[in-house]
This record gives sequence, C-alpha cells and structure tokens, in this order.
Amino acid sequence: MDKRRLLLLGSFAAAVAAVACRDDLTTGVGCPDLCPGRTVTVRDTIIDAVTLDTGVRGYPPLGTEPYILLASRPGLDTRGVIRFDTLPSKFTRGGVDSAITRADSAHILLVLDRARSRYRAPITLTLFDVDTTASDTDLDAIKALFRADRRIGSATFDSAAVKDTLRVPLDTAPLLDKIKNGKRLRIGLQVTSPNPVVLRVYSRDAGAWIPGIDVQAQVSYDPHPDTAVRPIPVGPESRTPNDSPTLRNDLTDYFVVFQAPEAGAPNDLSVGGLPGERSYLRFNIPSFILDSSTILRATLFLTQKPNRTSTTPDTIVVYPRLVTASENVTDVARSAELITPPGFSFDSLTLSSADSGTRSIEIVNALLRWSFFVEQKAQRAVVLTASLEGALPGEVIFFSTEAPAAVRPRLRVSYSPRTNFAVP
Amino acid sequence: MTIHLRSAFVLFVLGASPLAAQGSLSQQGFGYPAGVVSARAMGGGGAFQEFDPRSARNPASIGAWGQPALYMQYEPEFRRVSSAGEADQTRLTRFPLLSGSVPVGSRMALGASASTFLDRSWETLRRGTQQIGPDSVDFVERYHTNGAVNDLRVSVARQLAERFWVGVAGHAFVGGNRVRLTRTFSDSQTFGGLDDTLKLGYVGSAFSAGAIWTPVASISLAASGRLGRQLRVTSNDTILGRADIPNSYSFAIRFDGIPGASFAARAERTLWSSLSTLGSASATAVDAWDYSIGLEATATPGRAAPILYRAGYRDRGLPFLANGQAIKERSVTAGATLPLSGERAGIDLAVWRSVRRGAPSTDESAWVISLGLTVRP
Repeated sequence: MDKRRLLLLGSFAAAVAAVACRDDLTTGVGCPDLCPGRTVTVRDTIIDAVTLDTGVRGYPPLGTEPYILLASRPGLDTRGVIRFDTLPSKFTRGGVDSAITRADSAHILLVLDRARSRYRAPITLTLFDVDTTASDTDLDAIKALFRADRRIGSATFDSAAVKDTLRVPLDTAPLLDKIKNGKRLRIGLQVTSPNPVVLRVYSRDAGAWIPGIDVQAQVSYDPHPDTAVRPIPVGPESRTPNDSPTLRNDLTDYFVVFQAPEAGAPNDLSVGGLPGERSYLRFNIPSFILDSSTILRATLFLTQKPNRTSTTPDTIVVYPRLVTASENVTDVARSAELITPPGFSFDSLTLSSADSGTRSIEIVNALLRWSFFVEQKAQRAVVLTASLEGALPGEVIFFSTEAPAAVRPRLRVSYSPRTNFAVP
Repeated sequence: MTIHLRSAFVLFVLGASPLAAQGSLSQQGFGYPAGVVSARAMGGGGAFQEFDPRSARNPASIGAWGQPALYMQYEPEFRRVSSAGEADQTRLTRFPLLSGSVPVGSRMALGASASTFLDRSWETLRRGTQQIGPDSVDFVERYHTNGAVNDLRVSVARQLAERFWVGVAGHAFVGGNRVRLTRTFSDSQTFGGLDDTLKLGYVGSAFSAGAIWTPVASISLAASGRLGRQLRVTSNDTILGRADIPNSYSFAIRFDGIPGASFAARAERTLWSSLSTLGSASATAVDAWDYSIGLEATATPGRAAPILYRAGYRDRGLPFLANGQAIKERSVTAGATLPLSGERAGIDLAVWRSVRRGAPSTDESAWVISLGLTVRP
C-alpha cells in the first residue's frame, strides 16, 4: 500500500475518531410519545413525626453577639459593657517618652447599625465605670454598677446628630486615675430616651455574623496640648478571666439584660427573645418513607400563638437549621449548637411576634440528608433559630407536642415509592 | 407515632401516551440490534455476512479464514430524530464486534467472538409539571441508560467435503444496563429531586449452527440458525424478567460468476417476540425479517490482495414496537477494503445511511461509519 493511500486512510480514521470519540446521546423531540413515561406516584402523608421538642435558652453565648444591644422601652432594658483593660500610660513627644498626666478630649466612639436601630430623638447615652473585682460572669454585680456615682460620661443626640458613629465624651478625672494607676477601664453603656429606643452597636464579633463588617468601639484621649502629639486610640481588650481564653475574649464586649419580655410558657416552643432561645425538634420518620421511597417534599406545620408579653411586636426571621450532631450527643443544648449555618438548605420564614396561625416550613433537605447518610447516625433533628439571635427582644411562640392535637407540630411528607423503572 | 394517611393517589403520568419508549425509534424496549455484522459485510448491505468469517453469524464461515486472524470493529453512529418540525442530533460510539479464529489442522477451525446483541444507550431530556402537595412545580427530567446485552460466541467449523463447511456455536448472552433517572425541580429548597440509579444484569444462552455449500464454482449457498434458551434480567440478585433468546434462521446465496465481482442476497427471520416477556407491555417485541442484497467488486482483479469495493441495500424490521408501531429500517450501504502489508492486515470501511420509520409522528435517520481492522499474525 503506497504512502499516499495510507495517509488518506489514516486521516479519515482520525477524523472519524475525533468527531465520534464522545457520546452525545441526549434527545427530547420524540417526547412524550417516545420517551420513557415513568409513572410517578406521589403520596401525601401527614404524620406526628416530632418525638421531642424543647426550647433551649442562652444563644448565642454571652459576648458572642453581633451587636451590643442598647434598649430602653417599656418591658425592655438592655445595657452594654465594653472592656478596655489596657490603657497606655505614656506618650511620645519629640522622641522622648513621658508619663501621661492629662487626658483631654477623652471619648468613646461607638459604631451603630442605624438600619437595624429604632429610635426617635433625643437619645441619651450614659457611660458608667463597671469595673469590679467580682467574678467575670457575675452579671448581677455588673448590673449593680450602673448607678449615678459610677457615671463617667454622657451625651445627648438629636435626630441630626445620630450618625453611623456616635461619640460620647468620657469624664477626664476617672479616666486619668485609671491611666496613671494602671487600672482597667470597663465602660457600661446605657441608652435612655423619652421615646422607645433600641440601638444596635456593632460588637467586636459582628464580622463573624455580618459579612463585610469589621468595626469595633474605640476610646481616645489626647495626652498633651501640643498638636504634634496625636490622640491615643485604645481598642477593646479583655484580660480576665485568666483561666479561660475563650470567655476572656468573648467578654471584651457584651450586653446585659436588665428587663426583657417574659419568655413563652414552659410547654411552648419559643424562637428568639432575650436571652436568645432556640427550638429543638427531633423527628421519627417511618422507614417506609425514609428508606424505601423518594422524598419529594416535607413540610413542617407549626401553629404560632401570639406573643402578648411585649407591647411592641417584632419582626423575626426564623431559620430552620439541621442538627449535625450525632446520636451520641445526648445533651440537647449541645446538640442545638451543632447545626448548619442559617439559610443552608432551607428557606427562612419571616414572622411577626404578635401574629398567630399555622406556619409551614419546608424541610425536605433534612429528610433527604437523613435518607442518604444513614451511616453517619446524625440526629434527625432540626433547630429553629431567630435572626439577630440574642440581639432581638421579640420572640415567636409555637405550640409544642404537649398542646392539643389540632395545634401540635405535624409533618406532611410527599413521597414516591421506589419502582423498577429501569426495566422497559 | 401516629400516621394519618390523608391521601394516596396517582397524581401524574407524564405525556399523553401510556407507552414507555426511549426518545428514538431504534432504541425501543431493550435496545437496538447493533452488532454481529462486520464492516466488510455491511459494506455490501449485510448480504455477505453468512459467508464472512469476521461476522458473528454463521459458525461455518470461520473456516474461510484459513489462518489465524483477529478482527475488531469501531462504529460511530450519527443519528437524527425529528418530530413535529423539531430535530435532535445524537452521536453514539460503538465497538460492536470483536472476533478471531485459529485453524485446527487443515479442515477445522475454532473461533470466538463478542458482539453487541442489543444496545441500550440513550438519554432523554424533557420538561414537565408535577403536582406535589398543594403546589404544581416545574421539573426537568433526564433519563439515561448505558450498556448492552452482548453475545459471546465460541464456534467450531468443520469441512466435510471440498465445498461444504458446517459449524456449530455456543452463545452466552451477558451484559447490563446502568439506568439513571433524575428529576430536578425548579425550587430545590422546597422540593427534593428524584435521582434513582438501577443496574440491570442480563444472562442468557443459545446455540447456533450453520453450513456453507458451494455446489458449483460460481454459486455458494449458506444457511444458519440460532436456537435460543432462557434470558434473565436481574437487579441486585432479584430476577425482574425472563424470556427466551429469539430463535432465528437465515439463508443466503452468493454468485461469483463474473470475474472480479460477487453478488449476494440474504434473508433472515428472527423471532424477536420471544423477548416480549422480558419487560413490561411497553417493551413489546415482534418477529421481523431482515433482507439484504450486495455487490462486491475489485478494480484490480488478479492481485493477491486487491482493493475491494462494495455496495448494498438492507431492509429489516427492528425488534421492539414504538408507540405500538413496528419499525422498519432501510439502509443503503457502501464500503471498501484496503489491504495493508499484503494479506497480513486490512482495513474495512463501510458507510451507510439508515432511515427508520413506523411511528406516525417521528422520523429517524442515521449515518453510520464502520471501521474494521483485520490482523493475521
């Protein structure tokens, strides 16, 4: 065979192989007449699948909130604490270090989430010295220090003065005492107003909750009248407790609840509130659904009851979140912490705390996960959490499994029994 | 736990037709009979396959090798399915035939082959609406299957007289389909999709026998038949269906009276209906004829390894009904054999155009290119 013929043949074979080396099987124009018409039988079943439901209070842990909630309205009083445990006592002028003997223009800067704050001017921010030798977690001791003789500054703002950043002057004498004597500055924040007011000041943990936020409060003071000497900025810092770095860090800034709307009754399921509450619901899904069917939809029906403990209704976004803890975790409170992020796999639900009625939450992705990952022995549980958890006074209340049958949690599952569809 | 079975009802059967099918006319039921015939034989419409040792048809034909030989075939198909003014193009790659033979003495040969018996490789994509709970939701469904039932054959041929060969063969039919159905809903937070995968396995057997007789120098006659035994389809060790491998019988005549040219005609009857019990009523198989005529000629007669050209025509019925209608496939074929290194190797090329018709609303056509490589070590 001559080379020319061989080249021609080789080229043809290569061309055929190139265009046909990969299958492209997809067609659809013959449908439905010529397409496989699998009959999809959908069955709807409503089951009392919730075997355990309970509220778990105290979320998020103290000091990990995205906001320092400063509130003053009927039935609600929350105040903040920010620690500045290290205050510089020296400044540099002309290359020479000197001890600070004066602190002019002392103030604290607070960064406000105005979009999520509710106020009508005027509002007054009052600062207190809340440093104490009491235990770090002794909130009653802290609360006791919000009194007149501990007052170290204040400012009143009219509407035009309320900006994203609030500057509150600090009294010089107590600050200078702390600077000179190496004492800690722990500032208590209280807001008051003739009108209901709720201010949300970004905490140091805000960035962990709110993408793009990297702000924190700041204290500043000017150690010398020479304008060449710049004011000294001081950021929040906590140096106690010594034996718990996590708690020490969390307590850099936090807020304390002086008064909050009462939680729902013990046999209710509550979501939100102060301190934040989550509802934990554990399910038992029949194996003929979970193991032998294709689950198409799962809707959790909860009956909301109006929350009448607050005169001001709050709008709350409720997030269903899948528990990722295994069955080996028997502590419900711990299980309610081991959950998927908000918005992961589930749609949220926006509710007013004062409303009532049947609410439906789509949780098909939870059942699919329980069906697919049987070997992981994950708890078949869902936790309901609130948006702005721990920083929103409102609370949504649902009837629990202890309520009358008509208002108990129920689960409607739409599923399709598996068939041997592969045999034509 | 208390269960309130509020309702259990069939909400949805897609499409107007209750029949199941596979988006094309040729891929109905358990698939398309793709293999057995070599590229060399298909160049002549398949009419020469009874005499062709490369084709896995007549076990008597393997005596024609005369020496050890190995043959393999590559066969892409470019298909067009049109319906209601719309058309889809698909592309499918097959390796439908592998065969070989060794002579045992001067009057006997042993052969083995693997060929595609029923190819079930297709995918359909469609959109629809389904009622789930109180809501109606749009979905996209993808139905994909891949795999085939293959025919593994071991054959022996014996020359009983100078111009008379007979052969027998045992067949094992094995293979499988991997079938996946996915149905994705437009709102994935609210609705879980369907995603099922099943593997089907096939096991069956058959025997075949054939003969080739050349009563005069210019005429050869051939006949072969297959006696099918049970075929089972299983999934996870569960038998889902039983049927018999279809019996078949075929006859062919070849005329070599013109120097440098050969003519052949062939007819085959396959009793495909024996497969009807393998699946549901939507996979109904019907008995079918397969007719073909072909011409083989050389432009260089007298050479030891001449270039051969072929042309042919084939008319056959496909095994499975489409929407209740029998499907006919008509093919116009052409091909050539290009020898490499004398008689030690050769490449067979065949190209054919097939038109498949039967269902009132759908037409199907295909270009098929078949490349075969023969090696005689």
